Amino acid sequence: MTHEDQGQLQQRIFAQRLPLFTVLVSLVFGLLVLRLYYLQIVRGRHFSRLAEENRISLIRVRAPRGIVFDRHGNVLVTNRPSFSVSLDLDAVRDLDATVAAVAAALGLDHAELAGKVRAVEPFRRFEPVRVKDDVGRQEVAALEALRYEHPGVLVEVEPRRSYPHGTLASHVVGYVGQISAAELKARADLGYRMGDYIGKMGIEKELDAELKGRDGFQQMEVDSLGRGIKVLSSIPPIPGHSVTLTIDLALQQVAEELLAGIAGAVVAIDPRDGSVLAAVSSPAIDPNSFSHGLSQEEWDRLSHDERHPLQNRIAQAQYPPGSVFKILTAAAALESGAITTATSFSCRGAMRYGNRDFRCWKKEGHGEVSLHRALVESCDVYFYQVGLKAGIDEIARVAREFGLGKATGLELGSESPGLIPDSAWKRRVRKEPWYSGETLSAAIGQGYDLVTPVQAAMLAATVANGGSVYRPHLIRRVADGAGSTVRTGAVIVERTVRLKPGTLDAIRGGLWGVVNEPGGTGAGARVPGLAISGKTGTAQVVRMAAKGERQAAGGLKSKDHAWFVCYAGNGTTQVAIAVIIEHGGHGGAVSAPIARRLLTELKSLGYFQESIARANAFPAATDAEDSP
Amino acid sequence: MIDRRLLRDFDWVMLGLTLALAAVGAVGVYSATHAAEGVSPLFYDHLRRLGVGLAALLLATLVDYHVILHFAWIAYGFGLAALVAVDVVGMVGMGAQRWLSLGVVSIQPSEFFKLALVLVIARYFSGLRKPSPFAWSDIWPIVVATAVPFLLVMKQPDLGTAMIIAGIFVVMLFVAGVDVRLFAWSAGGGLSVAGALFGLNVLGVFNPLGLLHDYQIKRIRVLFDPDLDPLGAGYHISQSKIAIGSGGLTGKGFMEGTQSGLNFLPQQHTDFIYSVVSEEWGFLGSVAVIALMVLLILWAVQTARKARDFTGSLLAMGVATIFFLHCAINIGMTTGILPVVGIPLPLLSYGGSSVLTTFAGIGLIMNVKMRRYLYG
Repeated sequence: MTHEDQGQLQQRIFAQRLPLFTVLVSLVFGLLVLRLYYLQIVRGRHFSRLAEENRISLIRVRAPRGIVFDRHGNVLVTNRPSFSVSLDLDAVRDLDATVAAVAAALGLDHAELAGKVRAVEPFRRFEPVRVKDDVGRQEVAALEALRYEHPGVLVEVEPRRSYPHGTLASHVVGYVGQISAAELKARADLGYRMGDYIGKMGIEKELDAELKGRDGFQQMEVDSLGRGIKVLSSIPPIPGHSVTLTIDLALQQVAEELLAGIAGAVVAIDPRDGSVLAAVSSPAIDPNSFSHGLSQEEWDRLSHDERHPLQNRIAQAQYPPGSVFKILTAAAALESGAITTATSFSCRGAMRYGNRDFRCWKKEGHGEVSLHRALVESCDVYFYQVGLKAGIDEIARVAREFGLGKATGLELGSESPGLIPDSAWKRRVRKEPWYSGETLSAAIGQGYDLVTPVQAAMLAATVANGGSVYRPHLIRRVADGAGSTVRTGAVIVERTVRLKPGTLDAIRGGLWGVVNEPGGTGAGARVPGLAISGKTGTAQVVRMAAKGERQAAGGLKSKDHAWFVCYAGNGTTQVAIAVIIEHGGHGGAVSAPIARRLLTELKSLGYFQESIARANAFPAATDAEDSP
Repeated sequence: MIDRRLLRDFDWVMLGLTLALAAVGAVGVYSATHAAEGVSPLFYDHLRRLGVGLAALLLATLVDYHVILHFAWIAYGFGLAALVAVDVVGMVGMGAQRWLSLGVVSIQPSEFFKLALVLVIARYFSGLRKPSPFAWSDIWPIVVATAVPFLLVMKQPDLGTAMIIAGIFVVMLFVAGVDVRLFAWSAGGGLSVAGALFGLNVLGVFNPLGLLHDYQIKRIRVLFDPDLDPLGAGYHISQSKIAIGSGGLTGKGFMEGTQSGLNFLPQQHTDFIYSVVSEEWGFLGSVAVIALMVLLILWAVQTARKARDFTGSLLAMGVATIFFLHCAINIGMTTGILPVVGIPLPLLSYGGSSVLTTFAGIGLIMNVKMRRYLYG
């Protein structure tokens, strides 16, 4: 058989069999048309009755979002019943009269409401038009009286997010809002719908999937006026999981009062496991007003506020660490063998390097100082010298050992990494070599160095606990509606700082002296009966080169940021705190007293006794003795 | 490559039928996704996807289908790898594992695989240098190539796609000229196995239904008795039937569908779009949609009949079969005569993978039509 014949044979068989396919298609679609004829023509009236006259309506029952508690079970975020008013246009008898009556009862603009209703009316008559959300009880009472004269006015109860403490811990808990088009698109397959509320910031956002719960449904038989006759069956909503935070409400409250009216941040962390006891970003925002939709005016005011209340300073704001960084410069110098604790340098108030004078904060100078006194009095010249000896790359290496320069992993999202510069970074990013003059700035935490408040607190915590870099965390427990634990916050050691024996001891001794020895810059943090160690820092807002301008400019923005980091305890170290006050001036004068107030509060709360009991119960917790 | 004759022979009829069906679908998706808050972003999303689909259709007409068939086995390989990937790392959507996340978009590899299978079968038979009818010894490789993905898809579990893969296989092998006795033997064998399984079940030795997922058994049982589960599986069917039935002769009109408008219908913009269309446009509208579908299929059959070569005929028939099976299974399921198996309605349903593959497939049919007078 030739190739040609073969092709013809194939085509012939194909042509013979093709009509069978056509017959199959006709049969199948004929059957479907018959089925449609049966459903729509023969039984059409029956189904119409089901659909319209005595229709069965499927009503979504919103699941209440999970409650958020502090570590002691105090409610931080909850839901409250809220009334919403809608108009069922199918049931309304006299539309104009009803609209007028409802507008009067709710204090709405009549013309505006009428316009809103008219826009919807030609389409979707059966879909209730939402008139007003979150209606007050008196207005509800007024509407109840109207409902007999004006059928079709619906008053529904919905759970609504409520933040009973107002602005408290606003940057931690965050807020919710109606799902946006972009969010809906990204989550269309996960059961989110238009009009849903979704977490927009903080814990509300990061734990949205767990807090959300699952909406329920009610299959309701309704009459031709849309009134429910009886519930046929229902799937109850599953409430969202409740979340217990590590935050201590009382401590948080005190911390926020201390920062009232000031721009800055406070982070208090338990150095034994990385749990966050308090985290304040000031100025705060009010999640209640965010959750119900801000007016354009409010939004403009917030977004143009020069103190940036929308920024979450806890983990997003990056500041030069100032003298707080001397902890790391000291560690690097001791580790590399560049100095010993006995090495001393002479400070005469400034140091000439290259063609510039690098000044010490104390004009008259500190005289001959070694490590201990240099930390206690925060001598800049000493650390210029030490920084030069250790070198920028060794300083950066040790700083990264302590977990700086990258996000800590706190559960607030969009965390800033901070910045720990070294010569490789400078070549890569700035396309320039590292100048040794810059090492001097870096050694005292100026120049390129940046840390976030939570990183500063973690630095203190790591020094306190003997070198374990924990992942700071806010979640203590997630529980389902019945109260049984779904998961607990994991205590994670990100890394362990490897240092020579003696290095941490020497640094801790210095930090103890900062608070407790004569001439220490952190004396303002002392609390009787507590062993407190700390480090002050003053972060220059404008680079040194521009110092002249800064002084000339004057006013609020010209002052330096005031840092204080510390750790404290009674026997063991139980808390590490970082305080930063923007444009506050000197850390010792401004931020140390705030730390003192926090420690005093913790003491009066019985935190240090409680912690001892806890430490005994969990012997695994790091036992870090303070230096004498 | 672009010949003037190609433009002259461009298949405007097929393009018109395709766009008409897509327009009906877009109107349905608009209505189904519309909420009290206004036009849904999903609707604009659907329009964008139609645009992408149209581009894919035109792209599929550009290159001679013989060139495209050159890559058939490669497409098959990628498709199979994606099916395996779904098994390993896929996301679970609506109770079954069918989605593969590519970061930005999630795709359903099963949709793309159907097209790849058609390409491979067409390529295989055009390469056989033997006279038909074909015997078992001629076709066993293509049987294996179909059986592997069939079993994978069954495992996912995706009964709908498995049914369609089997359907493509049977129709294409039949028109390709496989010996009818092979079909008869297979049917006999299948019946014997079914009988044996039934016997074992009766004797209490082995329950073959254990191979199916609970929700699949439920969906089949609910088909015969919707009241078994009025809020779950039966809810889909009874609400869909109410929606279609209440449309009556002329329908309730655009955006007036109470069943969809009040959110009685689940998945109304995806798998149940036909219920929305039927409720709003009635018997006349529903039948008109079916008429458009039949015209499209018959036009494809005509293309197959007049194709320049056997390869083109098989290609056109394969794509027509996918389209036919999708339409029939989907409408059968929305009207309550087939179980709910999660098969989208081509050209009408919201869903990126389905839109893209349907348009590309139709582009291939047009490709065959445009090149029927070209020799080379």
